[in-house]
Amino acid sequence: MKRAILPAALLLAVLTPAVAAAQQTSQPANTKLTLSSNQARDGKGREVPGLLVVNATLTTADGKALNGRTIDFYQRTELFGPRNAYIGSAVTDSAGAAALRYEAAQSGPQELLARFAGTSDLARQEATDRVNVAESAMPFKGEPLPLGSVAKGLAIGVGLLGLAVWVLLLGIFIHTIIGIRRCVSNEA
Amino acid sequence: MEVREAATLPGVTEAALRPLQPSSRRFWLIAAGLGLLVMLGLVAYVTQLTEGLGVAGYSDHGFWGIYEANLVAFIGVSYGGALVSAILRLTNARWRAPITRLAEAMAVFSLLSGMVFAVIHLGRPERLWMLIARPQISSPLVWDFVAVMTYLVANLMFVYLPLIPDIALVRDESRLSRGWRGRLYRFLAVRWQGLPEQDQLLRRAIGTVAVLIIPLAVIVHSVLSWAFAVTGRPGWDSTIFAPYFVVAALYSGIATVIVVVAAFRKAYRLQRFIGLKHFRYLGYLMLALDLLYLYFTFTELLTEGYVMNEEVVPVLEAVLVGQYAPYFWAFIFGGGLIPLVLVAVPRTRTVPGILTASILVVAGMWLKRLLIVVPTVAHPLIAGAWGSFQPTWVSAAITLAAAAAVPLGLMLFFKLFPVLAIYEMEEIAEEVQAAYAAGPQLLTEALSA
Amino acid sequence: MHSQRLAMLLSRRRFLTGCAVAAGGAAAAPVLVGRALAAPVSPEAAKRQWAFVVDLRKCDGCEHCTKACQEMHHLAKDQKWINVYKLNSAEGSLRFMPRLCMHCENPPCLRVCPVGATFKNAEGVVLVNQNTCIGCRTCMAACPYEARYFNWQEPPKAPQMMDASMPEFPVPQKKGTVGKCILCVHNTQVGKLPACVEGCPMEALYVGDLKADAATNGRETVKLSTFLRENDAVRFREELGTRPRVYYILGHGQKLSY
Repeated sequence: MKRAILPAALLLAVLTPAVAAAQQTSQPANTKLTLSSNQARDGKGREVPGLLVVNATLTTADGKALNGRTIDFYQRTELFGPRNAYIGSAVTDSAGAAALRYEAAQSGPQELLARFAGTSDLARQEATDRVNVAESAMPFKGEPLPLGSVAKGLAIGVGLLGLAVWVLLLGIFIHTIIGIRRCVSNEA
Repeated sequence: MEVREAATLPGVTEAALRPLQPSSRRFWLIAAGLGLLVMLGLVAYVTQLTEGLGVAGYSDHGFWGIYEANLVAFIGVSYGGALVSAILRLTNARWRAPITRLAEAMAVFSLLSGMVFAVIHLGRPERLWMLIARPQISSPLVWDFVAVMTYLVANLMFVYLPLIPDIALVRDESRLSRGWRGRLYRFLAVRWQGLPEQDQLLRRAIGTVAVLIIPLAVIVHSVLSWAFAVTGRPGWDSTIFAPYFVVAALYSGIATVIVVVAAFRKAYRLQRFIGLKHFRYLGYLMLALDLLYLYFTFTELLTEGYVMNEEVVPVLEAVLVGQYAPYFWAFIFGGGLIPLVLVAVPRTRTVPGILTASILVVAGMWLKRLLIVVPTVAHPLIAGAWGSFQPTWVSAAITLAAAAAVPLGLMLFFKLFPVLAIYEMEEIAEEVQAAYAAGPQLLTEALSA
Repeated sequence: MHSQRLAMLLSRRRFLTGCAVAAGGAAAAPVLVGRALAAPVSPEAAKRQWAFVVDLRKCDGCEHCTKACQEMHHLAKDQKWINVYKLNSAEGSLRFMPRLCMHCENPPCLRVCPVGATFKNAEGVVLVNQNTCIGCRTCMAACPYEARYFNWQEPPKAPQMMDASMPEFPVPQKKGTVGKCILCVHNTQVGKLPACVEGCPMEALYVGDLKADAATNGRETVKLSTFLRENDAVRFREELGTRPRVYYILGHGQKLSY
């Protein structure tokens, strides 16, 4: 029994720092994520209303670009409480840059969020950006119903016709009855 | 009874005014029986008001049923009046003379009976005033309301105007115009004395209303059909629904005229004035409308069935070969083909034969209206089992009450007003007299020929 | 002499009575016509425009949505404002389709109502005023989605405090009137999710805003236009011209039954 304890304790003494060291190295490395967004422009350099180019750059803590990683983009929206609406994903290139074209539905100040989900080696990271959208890319417009003018014309036409019929019917009746009565009183 | 007889028509006035005298026990027994049916209907309606429409047999897949069919059927039946009185008047068909009063009165009572269903079928009838306070003009029910009201006013005028001289006649009979009756007659007769100016005014009015009532009749049933057709449901989504309904109304209307004329002719002993000729002519009209209605039914089914649009096929199958098939074929044979044969074949073209045909038509056409309403509503639009409207004692009692109200109304009406249109018959007699320049003997023959 | 007097009677009286009646009618006509032509509230002015998405890939037919809605609005068991249809697909498997009111932009139910009890609010939700409804059921006939239900008998009672009974919260229901899905406007107005969206364990139901272009099922929130486009969302029977606000994302090989 005494002979077993000494090797066991030696084993523990060696293993524990080794495990600790191993744990130390498997903690994910810090990453850095930046986010910026710009108004998109067309071939002639004019601003495209509501269209934004959203750029995110993912690097390690010391600035080394991280290639081939997926960045998820969100827009902060107020819908039954503050929520992050998922607007798309992009994969980083050799420079660590991921870009997304995004159509803003509403004008005014907006907050965008970029998120790197993280892996076992790399730390999860988020970045936000505020941008002011001048004009909505898809303004909501109520479409008029088909045949609207026809319906209106018909309603007016039939209404007048109905009115004419009533005027005619009641007019004839009243006229006839009064006339019949008057004939006798005139006679008398 | 001694009455002042019309110069040209001996016996007409006496016959027309006979019902105004105290009636037999049998009359009051029948009236009481009908009255009891009406009372039963009222009890049923109160039940419906307290329990809700579910107690009448309605459900979410049977949201329209017997009340809506009755609305169409009863209003349709009133078209017999428009046909006999207005159309025959404008075409100068002299044989119409002894039956116009019966036809017009029937039209008013069946129209009133039908209109009652527009109220009975509502879940909240106490809110009916909203139709006047805040009508939405895009709604077919608003069109129905306006059209039916206009048609009612026209029909009331059409019954009342030719009645004025007849009321004056009764007013002048002291034995018939005592007490409140006298006051009523004096008020309604609007000082009619038979003066030429009065005559001219009246004839012009009747003529104008006769012309107006025909397009009104066409419009009313067209509008009633659109309450179904504009919903776009398979089975109702048909462009010919409007003329289909109008022809249905004329067909069932003329059959009802025949039944009413036959019943009152027997009861009031008017055989001298209404003969086989009248039944034959009415029968021919009914035959023509029978063929027309079968034509419309066939067209409707062919154009829907040939295309075999998946939306409509289940409804067509249910009606032609499925759960509603017995009723449909009962209608085709009982309400369409048998009456056709009865009237077409000379052997059966008798008063009993034509009357049988008419009764079959009235029943068959009522059934047909049910067949238009129920299957389309029962058919599920997305998935699931078919529903159906299931008549209960409540809806049956109310239907019977409305059906009983029409003959009851007529019986009571003719206790106050002449059953024959004396003024109109005289009008026609004078025409015939002028044309033939013959004596009274030949005249009576000419009128009943 | 008679004929002279008669001619006078005819011409003067006819003119006068005709005028009187016509004047009365002319006064009434503009009111009726004006009401008919009155434009609805402009959707451009409203803050939100509600839409709904049903992800049929996730629906398993559990009917929790139906029950949640019935509980919230104290409905009878056979009134299923959101009804889950069981459809047999071509290959014989069972598919499920939740159907709620489509809150159409061009609703047939609204057009046929004789008293204007059915109306569309500024945010695009179709509602029923059970204090106006006369119970004619023409709207039930006109709705191609069978989305409307009728109170054929006395409806279930609600606890006293809930007797608000307005179109935005028709609880308790009224006998003899029509009821249907109201997109839980009573909830959405105060930033709460509709009962069915909240109650769906599969997170298959999304409620969204066309103006903000976002939709949420309670857990995840998506950009609505992208979500619909990338998943080939369709609307049920839109060829009828109803312009429904409810979108369906079909599962593999599925088609929407009619």
